[in-house]
Amino acid sequence: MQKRTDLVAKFSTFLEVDDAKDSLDLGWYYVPKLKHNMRQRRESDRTAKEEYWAKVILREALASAPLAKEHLAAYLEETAYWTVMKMRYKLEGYQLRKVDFFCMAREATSQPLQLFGRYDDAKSGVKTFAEKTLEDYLSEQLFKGRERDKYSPTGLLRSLSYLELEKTLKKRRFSPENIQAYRLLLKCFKEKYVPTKKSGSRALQPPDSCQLQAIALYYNQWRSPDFPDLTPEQVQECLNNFVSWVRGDAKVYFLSLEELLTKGEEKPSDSPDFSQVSEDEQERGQEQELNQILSQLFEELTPQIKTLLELVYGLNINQGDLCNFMGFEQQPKLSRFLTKTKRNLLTKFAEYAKKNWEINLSSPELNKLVKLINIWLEKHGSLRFHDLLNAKLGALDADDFRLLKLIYGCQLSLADVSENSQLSQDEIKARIKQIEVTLQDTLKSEVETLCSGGTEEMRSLDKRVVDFVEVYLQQAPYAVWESKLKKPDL
Amino acid sequence: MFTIEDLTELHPDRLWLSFSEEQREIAWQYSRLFSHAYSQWNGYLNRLAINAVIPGLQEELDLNPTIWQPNSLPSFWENVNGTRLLINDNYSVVIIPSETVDTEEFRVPQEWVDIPSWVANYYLAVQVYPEAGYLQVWGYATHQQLKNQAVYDEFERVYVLPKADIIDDLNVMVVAQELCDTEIAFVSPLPPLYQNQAERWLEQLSSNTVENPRLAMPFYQWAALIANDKWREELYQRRCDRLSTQIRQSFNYLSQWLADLALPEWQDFRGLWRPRQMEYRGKRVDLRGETNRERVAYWVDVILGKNSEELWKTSAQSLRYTTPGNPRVIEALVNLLAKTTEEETRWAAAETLWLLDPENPAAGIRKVKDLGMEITGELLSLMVAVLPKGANRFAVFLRLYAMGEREFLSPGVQLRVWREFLSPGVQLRVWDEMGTLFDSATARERDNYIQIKLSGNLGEWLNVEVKWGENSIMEGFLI
Repeated sequence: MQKRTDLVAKFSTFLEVDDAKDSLDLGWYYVPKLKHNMRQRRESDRTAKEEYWAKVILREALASAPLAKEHLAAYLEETAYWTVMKMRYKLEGYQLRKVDFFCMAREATSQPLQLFGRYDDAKSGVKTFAEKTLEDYLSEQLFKGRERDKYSPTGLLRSLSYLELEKTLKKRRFSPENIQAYRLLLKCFKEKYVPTKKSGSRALQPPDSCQLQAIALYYNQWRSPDFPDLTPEQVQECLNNFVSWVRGDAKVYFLSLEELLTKGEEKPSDSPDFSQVSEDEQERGQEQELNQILSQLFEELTPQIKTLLELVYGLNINQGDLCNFMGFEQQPKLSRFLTKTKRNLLTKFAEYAKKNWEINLSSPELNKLVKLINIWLEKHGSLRFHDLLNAKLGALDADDFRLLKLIYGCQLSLADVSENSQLSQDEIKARIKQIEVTLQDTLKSEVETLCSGGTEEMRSLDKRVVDFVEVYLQQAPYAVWESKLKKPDL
Repeated sequence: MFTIEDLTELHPDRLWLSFSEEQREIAWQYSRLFSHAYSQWNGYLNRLAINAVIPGLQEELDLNPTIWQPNSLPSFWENVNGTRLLINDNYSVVIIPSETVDTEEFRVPQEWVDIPSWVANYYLAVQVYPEAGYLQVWGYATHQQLKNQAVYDEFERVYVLPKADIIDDLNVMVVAQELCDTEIAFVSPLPPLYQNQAERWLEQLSSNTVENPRLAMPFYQWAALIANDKWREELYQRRCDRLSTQIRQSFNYLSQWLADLALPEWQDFRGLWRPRQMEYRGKRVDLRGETNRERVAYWVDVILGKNSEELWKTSAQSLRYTTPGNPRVIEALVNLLAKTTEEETRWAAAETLWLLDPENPAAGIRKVKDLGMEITGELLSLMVAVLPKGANRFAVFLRLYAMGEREFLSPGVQLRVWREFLSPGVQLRVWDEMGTLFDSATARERDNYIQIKLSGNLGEWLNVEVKWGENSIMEGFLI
């Protein structure tokens, strides 16, 4: 995926995806309305930087200003893309395609309240904040969707939260009064339904006629006077509706970009006075200090533990594959060991923070610290492997390097590259493949060295290495260069 | 189907814990002890949750939680969701299980936040998936967060905290204990509730028509009522009293057997008399007792005069087949039952008394149930005997017999007793409240029966499993 550099493009372009090929890398395309609007904004303040506009637009999106939500969704397309690429090893477990997962992410980025409910613009950049909340959201959606598929209708009703019911009803544009009435009905069901199970079966049986009667009576006792009594049959019908609506919402939803667009132009609102000190500069300063402290704490760990963290956080190797390396018989024991290692890191980090940053430690403050540790481990964990591949890339033949630039950096098609070089498309493909294999072998060799050869049981290693190299090639330093060959004006 | 290992790989930030089919079955049977649908389900989820979470906290976080007021759990769960655990002298945590599959918000009953003696430092959010056989601990909140940040839902009387405010890494909780203050906000003392007020409320809330007592009266009076241990227990007893007949009709309520309140399928043991010669552990045991008058007198003197459990036991066994109704022998046996502290001696005396004076109240009660053909053609009966030991403790004796034309049990038939859990497999295992194996017995060649003896307190729960090969039968008992 080619990184967007133009300010207007960042807030008005979306990735083109190919559902049939399960591909996310077909380039960017403008939405004219958004492009026009963003150009006007830029003209209104030529000095304002990306982060400034991100925060302004986010604030407007949270206030449901027209087009703001769409601008924000466009801005977060790259965040969605990289989150999907990072999490895609989970897709195997859930048997989900990349495109479907990306559409789930896109649906989340089109709902600012979902991602930014607790956002504090003084403390974090928009993209930085979105990365974590999006990952958590997608993780939750994956699990919830799968669990829901397994539930019987009655089990699903028992598992339904009031909040989820409200969301489902709001999507269907029920009035607040109706939502309250349905909420009451769900409450009555939960209090009156007596779960029964068949022996040997895990599934809950549906409420019988007596229970439906009891639910109806209870509802009628507490309902608002504006609503009529319900019969047991009507209760059953409502409960059936709840089930079908919730199941329907749980299906993968291909969010059409046209659905995001609204009619009418939008005038730039009066901008709040964000600090003139660039958020990027503030973040860079904090990041340096953080990096220094955590690097120090990391160095105090044993070489084996450092390697473990690099493999888990840097390469996403399955914990189960690392049992042998660490001398554990079972994955749960390794998992506990990792938990304890992180806990020790957190304790030391927290002690440092308390002493040097003069913060009053509390659970929420510690939570922020542990998130910083997680982000740092993910970045630092892959550092060794990035450095290795950088060195390898730097030593490549100039022609091979140029091919990578054109294909990955400039996102040119094989046909375009072939037209402007001496090579056929097949030859280009073969050379790219060879380079990829070389890089993959380099990584595997490094892992073998780190683990003293004990990689036979690392069943996830091959796949993770392939994923790592693919993402690396897309993010490698050449990717920001513009090609001299004809390409979209981004 | 995902395993716990799969879920840990896919979602490593959560604590995933599994529970077995047997644990679920036992929790389900346990849940029948409550008065209404809501409290039954509450009891079920809470029992599943604590039985998995407590060992989970021990293994994953090196904590050693103990249950606060463990003998009163039914009185809590009858009315309120949640269980309080003590971590150490200064820290406590409340587990709040929920069956909702999304984790968008954390709902904590007001009782755990606003009753001063119930307050905890931390509140664990637990999602239970009964049908799937696992649960996840997806985060926690502090008392301060609940009091200061959460939204109060007055309709359900819960504090609601959105997911964004939940701390999802449990390592933070462990470190917070070391480095942070208690994180408990100020809680106002409860207004006083006088005895006569409490009595009126107890009367009112015990009524069949009151489905959910916690919402049936002003909160702070309700809080004062249930914060009082005695009143809370009283409320639970009264609400279940109307069900006591139902409980008796659906439960093996062992202590009630002494009042002749056993379920109909349990028959008087005398109807299933066994031959004099029995085989146990492959050894032929001659059950002919002592009939010589002098010898009888000797054994009686040993019981009354000596101070040796072993001699008492031998004496009791030797007196087994003396003339029924012998008053001196009966008196000696009753005396022995009152003074012995050894289970083997107790049951030796009881078995003799059963033969010589079956109606004697000191003999406790013996019932037997024909387990029928449930286990692949093996005709089996389970005998259960109960003896009071005083101070709300009871001795329980379980014996599995071969029935009908079969003289011996098939080798490998097992009798298992779980105190909270049933273990699959025919072994007699007694497990403590957290599902730890207590005891087991397996039939060998030429065993007429296998048996297990144990003691328990009033209100303790046992599960007895009889298994042979792939087949098993479970019986739940409440002492």
